[in-house]
Amino acid sequence: MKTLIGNRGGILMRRVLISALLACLFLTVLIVPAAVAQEKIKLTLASMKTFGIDTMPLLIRRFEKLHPNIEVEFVEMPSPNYSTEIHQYLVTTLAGETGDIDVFTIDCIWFPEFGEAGWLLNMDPYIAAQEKANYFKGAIETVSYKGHQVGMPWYIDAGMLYYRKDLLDKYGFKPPKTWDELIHQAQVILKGEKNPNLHGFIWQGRQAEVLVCDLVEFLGSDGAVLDDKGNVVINNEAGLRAAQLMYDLIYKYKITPESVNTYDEEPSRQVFTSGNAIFLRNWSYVWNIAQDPKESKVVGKVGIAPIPAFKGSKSASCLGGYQFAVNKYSEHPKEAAELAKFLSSPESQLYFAQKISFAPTRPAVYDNAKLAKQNPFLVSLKDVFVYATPRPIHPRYPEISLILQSEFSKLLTNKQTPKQTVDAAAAKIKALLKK
Amino acid sequence: MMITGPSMIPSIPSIRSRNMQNWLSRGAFYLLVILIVLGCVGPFAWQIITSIKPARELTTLPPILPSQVTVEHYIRVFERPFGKYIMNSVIVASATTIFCLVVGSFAAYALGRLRMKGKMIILSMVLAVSMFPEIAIVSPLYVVMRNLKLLNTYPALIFPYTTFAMPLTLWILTSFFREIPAELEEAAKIDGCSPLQAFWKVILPIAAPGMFTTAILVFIAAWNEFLFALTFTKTIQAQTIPVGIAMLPTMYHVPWGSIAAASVIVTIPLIILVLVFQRRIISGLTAGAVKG
Amino acid sequence: MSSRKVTFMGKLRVSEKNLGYFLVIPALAVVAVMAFWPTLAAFWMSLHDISLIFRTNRFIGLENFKTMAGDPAFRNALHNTVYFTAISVALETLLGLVMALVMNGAFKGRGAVRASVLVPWAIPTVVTSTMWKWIFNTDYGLFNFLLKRFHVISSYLNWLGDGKLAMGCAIMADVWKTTPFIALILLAGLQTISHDLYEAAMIDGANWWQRFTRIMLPLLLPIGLVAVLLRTLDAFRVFALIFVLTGGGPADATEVLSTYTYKVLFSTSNFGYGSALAVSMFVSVALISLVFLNFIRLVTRSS
Repeated sequence: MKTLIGNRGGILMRRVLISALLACLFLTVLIVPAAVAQEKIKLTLASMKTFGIDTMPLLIRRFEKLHPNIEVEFVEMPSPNYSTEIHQYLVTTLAGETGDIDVFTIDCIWFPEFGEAGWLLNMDPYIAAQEKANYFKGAIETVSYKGHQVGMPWYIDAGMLYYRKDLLDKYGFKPPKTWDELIHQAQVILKGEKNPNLHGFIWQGRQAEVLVCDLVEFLGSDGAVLDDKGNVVINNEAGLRAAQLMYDLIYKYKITPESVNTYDEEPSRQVFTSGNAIFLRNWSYVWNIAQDPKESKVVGKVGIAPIPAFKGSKSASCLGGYQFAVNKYSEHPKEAAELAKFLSSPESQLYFAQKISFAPTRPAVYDNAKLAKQNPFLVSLKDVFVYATPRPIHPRYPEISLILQSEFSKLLTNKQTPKQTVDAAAAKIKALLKK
Repeated sequence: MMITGPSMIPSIPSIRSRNMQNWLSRGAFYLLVILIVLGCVGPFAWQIITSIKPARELTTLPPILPSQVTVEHYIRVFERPFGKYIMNSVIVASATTIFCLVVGSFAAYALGRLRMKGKMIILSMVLAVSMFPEIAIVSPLYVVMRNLKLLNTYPALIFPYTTFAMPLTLWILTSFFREIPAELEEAAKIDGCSPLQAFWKVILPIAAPGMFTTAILVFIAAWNEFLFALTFTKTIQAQTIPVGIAMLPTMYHVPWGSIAAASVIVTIPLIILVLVFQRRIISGLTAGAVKG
Repeated sequence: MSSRKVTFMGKLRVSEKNLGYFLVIPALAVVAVMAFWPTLAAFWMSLHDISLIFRTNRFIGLENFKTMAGDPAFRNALHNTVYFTAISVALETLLGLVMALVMNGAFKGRGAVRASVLVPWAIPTVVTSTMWKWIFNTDYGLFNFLLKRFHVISSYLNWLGDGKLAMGCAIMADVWKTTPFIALILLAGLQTISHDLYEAAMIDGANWWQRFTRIMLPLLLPIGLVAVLLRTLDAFRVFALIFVLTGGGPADATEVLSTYTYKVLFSTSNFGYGSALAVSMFVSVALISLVFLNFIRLVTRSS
């Protein structure tokens, strides 16, 4: 009697369980995409999102036509304002040391880190020695680590000063070359315009990577976080001068609002293109948006200039941009290198420049007559790009960056003085590098 | 709290008095309702307004309302294969919900109603899953997924979502099953039902509010997850809505109007879902008792 | 007769027990396959010095935890996390209860109210945090605009740029987003309370406050505790909301354990120390849960 009940319960339960299990299995089988058998060599290209939907796929198709034995799977990563997520995705994927992705786009600041970790394929055997001379020197330095080329240059970006041409003209000013000029012009215009919504100078002070970019520019040509020998020099005279300027823009000259400590690229761009700022520090992407009547209230009223400098010192513009690299654990390194080289070729660079205004890393591409006609803005930036200043080059850069972000955020929030800021940053970075 | 009117705590209609005080408390009650709805829907209404504003007006206040209505943001959303993202999300979230409820309700029945040892230990073990930060699990889980050859498939999302929704499912359902009066089940057993039959015929219908509530919470959690979706999928084949939204910005430019439009598009199906199912959330004992 | 009954019950009890384990196994299996190995891996890594960049991987015992004890950034993050969790969960519970009571009421249009209450929970978190970032924007945010329009503030405040205000904003966004979670669970709980109990109480002449405190609250307590427990665990691990809203800034004022752990894990690729931080979160949350579990056991036993 009792066993009967037990069994009956058991049978019923088994039936229910089995049918549930079958249902689940069926569902799984149904939704697992069928693996397609193929003989072609398959490469995976993971690229961050740029402009347009078909920009990269069109180029890939061109590559596949040239190499009929290769098939390229395109994996799209988010755009660079998700750089933390891209970094996490790449670290997770590459740390497995398998060929899940073959070619990928990489922020120029990650080369020392990924290079030290041994995830990047040495490109030297795949490129002719004289080929390096066809790129900007800085671009090749960016994609090199410990004497080897470990990536292929893609495009270059740099910080620049956007200004309101109409307002500067109205008060008879020329674009500022020094910080003193910028401060003076902003103060005069703010006083004259009497517009409570208008800000003098907007930049990026959010506790994020971009704060370090801005810092590099305030440091100018005389300052640095690390010197050539790798010593920490952020607390020298030039470093203190930069910190003092960042502080004074907000709390002394009052041409930068306190809310700058919450701004990264887009919020600061919004203030400018809605007509509420005289000067803006930002990347090259702002130019096209500022000229788009759908997005911008300052169409035709915007000019660009190099980042100002301290008197007697030279301007520094923070180097940015993504490059290509090949996974060292790719199962088809030769073909993957071929793809990376193709994406970095003069033809591809011209394609990117024409289609999405990406600044080429090959000087020769700028001389293309068609491009000069079509995108004079881009060609005019050549000089800015040539002298762009890199952020500290060190495998521990991500940690250095976190320290700088934290300390300078304290400065902008008025929690510590400029002197305290550079001293604390220097002490912490020194302690880190001793490890 | 003092304004809680009589309608919130059920009372017998005939006993309700119709004096001034009652009118006042009714008024206060509806004021509360309005406040709640405004608080919940207000920011979403702002999203809707944002989604039909021309881009250059997004940073201007006043006016709150757009000078002209535009659908360009919606067009831009569907320039990407947004329908595919929605379909992926529907499949992943539905499968997760079904898995969770099937597996979870069996276990919760055992833990809530059957006599067995170590219930608290089992419940605590499952709860431990939601004690680890997801960010610390992403990397090891990626290795697991690759070894199982699941990367870039729906199961790569369904399995972890089911796992991480299991504590919620199990704890809520167990708690519900436990509260159901034992007499009902005993009566069924006397009628000759096996424990599982009692579960099917008696417990489940009574626990329907708990089941549907759990289903909605699990579904939405799976619908909205971002970190795993970004890491374990690579292409449009398996990517879900949050990844699709993250793909809207181009370079540094964040098209806020389009993101608002996308969020409106993906939120409205959920609202309809809730409207359809909300009667089920309110049923179980109450309905039975009222009818009886 | 009586002996037969006993054996019958006895046998049933045995089969019930086996049935119980059988029913629990699938759930445990799901959890084990996906969570067991990664969790174990995190524990294992926390005892190592693992840097992906420098390709180090050596056992160092509890060294990471010693580092943690002297790490001011960790202490700051722990403090912020506890503060954030305590305040937001308390507010969510209170508001959630009010919302559940309202939704439980019989009135016209309650279906629409129930659907609208779920809206905050339904919007993807990636969007919610960006949305609040816009609303709290100093220069063109709706929050400043409305507050000034209604004369609550005289000049625009730098909401996300001031440490204390930024934490308040994060809490506000979290409360808005997750109160529906608690409200919905409590509502379902209210639904399983039998009407007969109220009727009996009303006949005994109990007023609504008495009915609320003596019938509803005690009956709601078990499920309410579960809801609060689940919320607490989630709030303690809050990540996306704060990461998008403030990135941990300004001046580390909103840095919580999750955002700090993320930076250590993925920005610095220091998986040893990062895992140790994750383990510390696990332990903190486990301790909190222990308190809850004891409560829940007490409550379920007494009822």
